[in-house]
Amino acid sequence: MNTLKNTLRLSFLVLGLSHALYGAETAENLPPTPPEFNMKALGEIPILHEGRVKPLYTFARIHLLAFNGKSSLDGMNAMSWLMESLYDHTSAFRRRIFNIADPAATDALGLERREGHRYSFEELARGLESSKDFLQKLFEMKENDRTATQNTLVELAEKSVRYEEISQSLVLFFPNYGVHSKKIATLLGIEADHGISFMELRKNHTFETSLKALYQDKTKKLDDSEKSEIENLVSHWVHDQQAVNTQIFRVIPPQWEQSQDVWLSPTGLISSGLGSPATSQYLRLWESLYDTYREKDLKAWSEISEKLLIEAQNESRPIVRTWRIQLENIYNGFDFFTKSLTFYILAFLLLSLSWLMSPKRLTQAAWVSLLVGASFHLVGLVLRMTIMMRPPVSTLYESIVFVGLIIVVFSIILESFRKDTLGILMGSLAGGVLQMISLRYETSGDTMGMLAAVLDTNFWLATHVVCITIGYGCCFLTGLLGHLYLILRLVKPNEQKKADEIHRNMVGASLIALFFSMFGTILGGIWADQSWGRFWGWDPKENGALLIVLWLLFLIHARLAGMLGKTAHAAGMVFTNVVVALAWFGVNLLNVGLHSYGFTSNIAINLGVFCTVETLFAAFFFIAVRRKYEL
Amino acid sequence: MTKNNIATRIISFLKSSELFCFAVLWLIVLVFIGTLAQRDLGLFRAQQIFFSSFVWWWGFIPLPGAYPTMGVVFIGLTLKLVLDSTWKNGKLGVWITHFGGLLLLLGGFLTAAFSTEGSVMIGPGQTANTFTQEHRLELAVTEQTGKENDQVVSFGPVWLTPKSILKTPNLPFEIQVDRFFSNSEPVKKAPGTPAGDSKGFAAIFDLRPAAEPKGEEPSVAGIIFKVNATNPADASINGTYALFEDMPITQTLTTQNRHFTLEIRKARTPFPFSLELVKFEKSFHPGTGMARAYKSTVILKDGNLSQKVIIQMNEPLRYKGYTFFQSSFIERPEGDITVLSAVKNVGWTFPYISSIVMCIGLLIHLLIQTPKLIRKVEPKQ
Repeated sequence: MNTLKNTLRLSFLVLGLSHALYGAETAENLPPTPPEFNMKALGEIPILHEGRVKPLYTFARIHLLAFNGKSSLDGMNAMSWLMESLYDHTSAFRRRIFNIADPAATDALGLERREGHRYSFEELARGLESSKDFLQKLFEMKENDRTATQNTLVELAEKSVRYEEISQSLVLFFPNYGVHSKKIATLLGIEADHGISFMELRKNHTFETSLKALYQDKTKKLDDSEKSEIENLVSHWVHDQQAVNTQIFRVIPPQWEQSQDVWLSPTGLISSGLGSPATSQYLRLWESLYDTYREKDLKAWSEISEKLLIEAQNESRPIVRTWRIQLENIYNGFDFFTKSLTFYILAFLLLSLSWLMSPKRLTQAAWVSLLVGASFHLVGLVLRMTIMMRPPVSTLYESIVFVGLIIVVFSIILESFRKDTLGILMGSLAGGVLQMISLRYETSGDTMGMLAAVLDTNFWLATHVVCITIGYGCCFLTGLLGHLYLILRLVKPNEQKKADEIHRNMVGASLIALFFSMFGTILGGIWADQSWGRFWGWDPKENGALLIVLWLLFLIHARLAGMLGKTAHAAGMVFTNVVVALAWFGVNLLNVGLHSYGFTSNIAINLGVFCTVETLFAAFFFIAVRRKYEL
Repeated sequence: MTKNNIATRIISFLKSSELFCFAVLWLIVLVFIGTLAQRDLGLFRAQQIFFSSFVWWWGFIPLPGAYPTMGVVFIGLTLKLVLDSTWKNGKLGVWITHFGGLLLLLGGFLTAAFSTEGSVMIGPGQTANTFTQEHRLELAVTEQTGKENDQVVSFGPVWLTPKSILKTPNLPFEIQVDRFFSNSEPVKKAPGTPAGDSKGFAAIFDLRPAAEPKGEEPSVAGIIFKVNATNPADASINGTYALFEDMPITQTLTTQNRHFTLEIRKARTPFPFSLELVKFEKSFHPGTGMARAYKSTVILKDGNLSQKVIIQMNEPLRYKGYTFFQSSFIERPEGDITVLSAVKNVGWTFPYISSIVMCIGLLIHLLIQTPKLIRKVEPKQ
């Protein structure tokens, strides 16, 4: 069944590609950047995508991020790119939007290796078309049986299908059909030299029959240009019939009381027959943007866009809260997390410089920079919570952002107690690294996705998940202090007093980490008891949380019992990072049990590297410090 | 060495922090290995081997499972609390936390020892008063009385061992277990093989043991047994029989105008009331196949009581010590069948109480200790 589905998907792709190749131009002939149309109003239009009503700007942004890895392209923002994809295929299909970083994948598709790794839809289509038999076999294989490059190829095929689906969302409403020959026009019952849309032609019930008859009937004496026009029409017609099924562009709000959840794409609206006078008016506005885009009429574009937004808001008002849509666009447009990352990096650089020159001013500047970064971080998170009306952590992506903030907040508290730059160092370092990791997750789709039924509970997300992630944050903070203690002991033997202070801080942080990890784990058990009927099921995610608690219990008690000296204790705390990383990401790789919703396929290598480096660090410094002091 | 000295040494050893630390380290090893093993063995089997066991085998070396390890922690902690508690202000949080830990372990023990869990499947308009335990088998002998309720005699897993003789006054025959397989496969006998005293399915097929399935694949239990009629006049039913789980054709026995069916099946546990499914509803996030909510509307019937109840995700039904959770559903054209998880757990309140106790304890300890630990310079004594 799955194979059949894939085959159908692939056949659609191939059909689409052949259309894309029609009139293909060379890749070197790059399209010009379109003029700066006003996209503000269009960006606020609500669209249903992956179960959530979101602004069109978010829809554009997550797709551009998924294809290109960046949220802007060739000086265009995501909305400009989306409108070009909808209204100007000639340019859009030649724009290099697909990021293919794996050179083996470009080789397999017969594409040239290129600096920047960006390829146009046209190029990708050509590559996929030439490899369609090979791709068909890949689709039939299980994901685990394919190599990384083969998985990349399958992902590329899926992305190109999705891109084509987006690009075809409105095409049936544009006057793309036309013939020069009066003879053919008469036979088909249309006007010569006059553009007409697929949807208009579909209303003419005799057109398809006439076209088919003309294509098959060899008795009519047609010259070569007439034959060519007929073949073109047939090719378009066959392709556009597939486009009737495009559902991705669900910008039409529910029209009738009995279909409250049913948002439709323009083509879906026509085929479902759920239209109303209001939707006709709405669709006409989308159609009329076509001419203004092609004529580069910026003024008319703005006017129509405004009307479109008003129509969309009127139609969706009972269901969609406009302020949330606007807030989401502010969140996307301001890019709070990238800004916080910038300030964390700046804080780290300023602090590093302060070690070399004029410590006081640079330290103050680093401190301010950390605070500004934390403010952006916090505001971004609060905005997400307000938009989604749910607690800060419900997905893997959000857990990374939240853990980053927790470490930064605790570092700020530590710094305000100690005032010796230790907190600035840890906050800027951990905040920066985790924000970098989180930004990579943005390319995997909507970071505000809907939740599975069992997770859709604000009470438990606000208690168990928040506690567990605060626990992760505190553990990493403890681990960082462990690193600093070991480095200080090895590099600066004279500063034992400072090292002891750090060790004491580390013990304090580990107690806080234990509190949140244990409380979070128990709360998780209670949630499981409420949802699945058992407090503890030895599920991998539960075991991961338990491992953190047990490891912290061991370290704390072993230190109290005198089994571990300060150096061994600090090395153990460094290893806490490994335990937390395994509990956080590693257990998802097992893909077993009720918690296996957070599966991520590309993290195994990064996780392996992290765990190895941390283990080696702990082992090396433990041995080196012991040798140095002959412990 | 006096007896007192030995006892003191043992107690001292049991409550030592060193023993606690080694026990915790061993638990870490168990949890780590057991979690990795779930990928190949599946969740339940790995749990049985590493976590719900006294001993597990690494090759030919016996190693302690989670039960004795947690037992050591429990005993040590109890002794420490009773014998070593120093009632200083600074230690109050520590004492409360450890007491909470004890309660948690006690709750875990009660759950492991006395809880039963399974699932109930109810179609629209149907009523259920038993739940099926997924990991417990029984040999069920059902007398078909032709009345509303059939009489069932079932023999649990402890009876399903070779040479066990299963008999009750209600049955006109006894069953002697010959062989039992936790996973089996039926193999057709070669043509011409003498039937001997084999009857029914066993006359045509042999049952052979099969390797334990990997991961979450289900196993098919099988049993070979002899039937001996109590009354010599019914000797025609005597013979060797074989059954495996979910056999397409039911094995029947008829004697003295009494009709019996025999099955090896997942154990069914009755509960002292019944549930009738009114309707099962599911909803999806719009435009996706991703579930947003599942909900079962049921009528709880207990004697004269008839109460409408809604069971949905995160909102179970708790009644008379049993808890029912919305677990899954099966799509059917005539109406979806709801699947509810059913649990009877006498220790279910312990985690709630212990978590509150532990958190209060840790919070007190943190409030006392953390300011001292965060400050840059230690306060002067």
